[in-house]
Amino acid sequence: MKLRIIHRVLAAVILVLVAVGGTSAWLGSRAQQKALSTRVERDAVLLSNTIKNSTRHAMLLNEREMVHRIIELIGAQPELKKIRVFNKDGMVIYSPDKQLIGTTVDKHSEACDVCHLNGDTASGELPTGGRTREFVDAGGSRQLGVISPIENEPACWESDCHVHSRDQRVLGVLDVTMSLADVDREVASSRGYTLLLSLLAILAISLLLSAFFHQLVGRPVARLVAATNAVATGDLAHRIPVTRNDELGQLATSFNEMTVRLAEARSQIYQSNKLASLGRLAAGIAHEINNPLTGVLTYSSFLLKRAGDDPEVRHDLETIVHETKRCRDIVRGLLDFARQVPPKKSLVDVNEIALRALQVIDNQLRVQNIRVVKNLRGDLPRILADPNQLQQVLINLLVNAADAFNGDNREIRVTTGLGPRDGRDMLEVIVADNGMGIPEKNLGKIFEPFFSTKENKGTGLGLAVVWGIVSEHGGVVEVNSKVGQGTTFTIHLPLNGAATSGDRSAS
Amino acid sequence: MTPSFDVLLVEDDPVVHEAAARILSLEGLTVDRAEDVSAAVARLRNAQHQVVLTDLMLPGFSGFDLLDRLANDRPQVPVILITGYATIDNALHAFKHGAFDFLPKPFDVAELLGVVRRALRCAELRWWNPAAPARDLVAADVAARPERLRFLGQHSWAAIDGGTAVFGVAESFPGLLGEIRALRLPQPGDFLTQGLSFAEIATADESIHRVWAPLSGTVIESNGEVLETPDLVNRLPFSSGWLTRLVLSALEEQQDALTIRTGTLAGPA
Repeated sequence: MKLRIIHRVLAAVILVLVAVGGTSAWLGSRAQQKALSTRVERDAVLLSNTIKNSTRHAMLLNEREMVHRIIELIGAQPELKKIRVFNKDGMVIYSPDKQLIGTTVDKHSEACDVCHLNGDTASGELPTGGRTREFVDAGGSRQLGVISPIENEPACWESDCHVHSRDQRVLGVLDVTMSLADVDREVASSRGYTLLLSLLAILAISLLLSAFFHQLVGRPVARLVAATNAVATGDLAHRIPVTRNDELGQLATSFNEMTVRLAEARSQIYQSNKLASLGRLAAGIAHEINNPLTGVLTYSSFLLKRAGDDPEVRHDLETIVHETKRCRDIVRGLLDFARQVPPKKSLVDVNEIALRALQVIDNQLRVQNIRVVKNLRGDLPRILADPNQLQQVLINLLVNAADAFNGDNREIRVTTGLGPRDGRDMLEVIVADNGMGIPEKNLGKIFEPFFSTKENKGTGLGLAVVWGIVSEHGGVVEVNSKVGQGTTFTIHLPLNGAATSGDRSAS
Repeated sequence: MTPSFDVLLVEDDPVVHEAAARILSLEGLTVDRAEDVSAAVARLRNAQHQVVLTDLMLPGFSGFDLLDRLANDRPQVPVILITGYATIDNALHAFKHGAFDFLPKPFDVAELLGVVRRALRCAELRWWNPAAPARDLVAADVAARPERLRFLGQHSWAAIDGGTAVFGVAESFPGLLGEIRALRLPQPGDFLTQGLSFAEIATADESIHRVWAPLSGTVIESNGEVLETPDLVNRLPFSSGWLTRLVLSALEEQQDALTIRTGTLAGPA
């Protein structure tokens, strides 16, 4: 089943090769055969003339023995199959084969057909070009026969023997038959040779083509197919090694880009769905848990109030009250998170929001000895966003970054700018730290509610809130992290509905 | 003679119902009980109640329905809403509809007693009017600049000046708190969200009173003077008793929740 395309290409190539090669071989072999036959024919005509000329004198002297001897001598050559001289009545009067002499040939035999077309008297002139004929003898080999009439001439009727009268036009016929077996053999052997060569060429071309095809098309296509199958079964981390610059290389690059986008989209959808259902679940649980929590908190705080001076009882009750209040804070965080309040959007300056967020946690950063490097782009367009929610996003990211340090060199970089994403320009807010980084296995989980690596610190909702708010704004949160080097969160926010300061002043 | 109760408790969850009723009773308050709005209306018809403490989410009619009905029929009765969802919108809605205060679940004893006692005192003094403050405290506070004040019900106020504002407590606190033990105010840099708690007042009767922010913004400073002399909240709540100054973050979208009092502010400017 695999690599069917190569089979088709090969079949087409072989078909073309066979057609072209076969035609040219056939044409070549025909030309060769014709050339050879022409040569044999020329030889036969030459020989006929030779026989006629060499026997002329003997004939005129009516020296029959002499004629016999000459014809015998000539007929001894192996290429000569037959030499016959007929008289007007179709009787063989001379031939190297003594047995033939005296035999009469029917006017309908192949040798006579040339002149005696209808089996009766010869129709005068012998047609030019019709003196030669090809036929197959009883042994199955091809023969070439050349007939040349022995015409009457004054010397014949004027000679002393007075055998021929003046009225006769043709006195007899010389028939020379030569074997074409050599020609046929030569042609056949040359044809076989051509066939063999052609087969070898086709084989070589097929092998070469297969190898090239396999290398240039087959393997990359197989890799693409394997990658497509991998992606189809859900492995979006699969990448095709791009080693070439041709169309298939470009296809592989596009494929890889598509897979990256797919993976991102899938993780976004997955994350959003998960967060949405978790949000609903959380809201439901929070609502349900509020009542029992109220029971625990009211009774325990009431008991504490009436506990008197027993320090042990007070301590235990204080623990219950404290922990219940912690539960309350978690539930409130959850409700804040689950609260699906659509953002109240207005045109906001993201730089201003970033500065305000930094101002809010300035104290905490200073206490923790964290240096803040601001790189806010000046001509940032205003965007439609909920300023409070965006500020919340930035505070959460900053707090998250502030908790990521364990060494001495502590730096948080806050950058704003514009950057392309998914083919359109988006506003970027980057919060980067040089803290301890996030292990790869945790990167997929950090936006999940209640995922926290900070023991007893925070609710584990900070980044989930970030995700929720940014998604509500039609944006995307991206995180890059290297353990030991730090973490970079990039928020991409859409510019739609935004107006640059230039536009605003112009309008 | 119709029976009289300090509190009408309307709550459908048995645990919360029982806990609140027991605590209020053990504090010496008389508690009348109902599980839903219909039962509450029946109780209101058959008895006198100083304060109504009702859950927001009830089967059938909601706490808001009861609130609207009481604002019409018994405007002198302060209504406290217990909210399961401590959401901004619920809080703002409650004040717009004349609630005395709201109490987010889960609450502890100090928070419950704080708000109920404050409402009781208000009712006893006949100071409560959900439509307009019954006593003109703003005029009494000679240093106040009423033209700048925006109110979140009768709960808190914001004096807006450009992009900044000062927050303080309104009529439902001064004179109703008793002795103030401590104030807890936000730190500079803290972000306050409209409708969520930004200050806590602890009183000598071991109660906690929460103050909900009228607007959102980032704290610049809190009033050091009022931290040292908490009684300023009782005496001069609209001037020296201010609590926190902050940079506002979304005044335009949020100021609809606040009311400007015209007519009642005819006092000296």
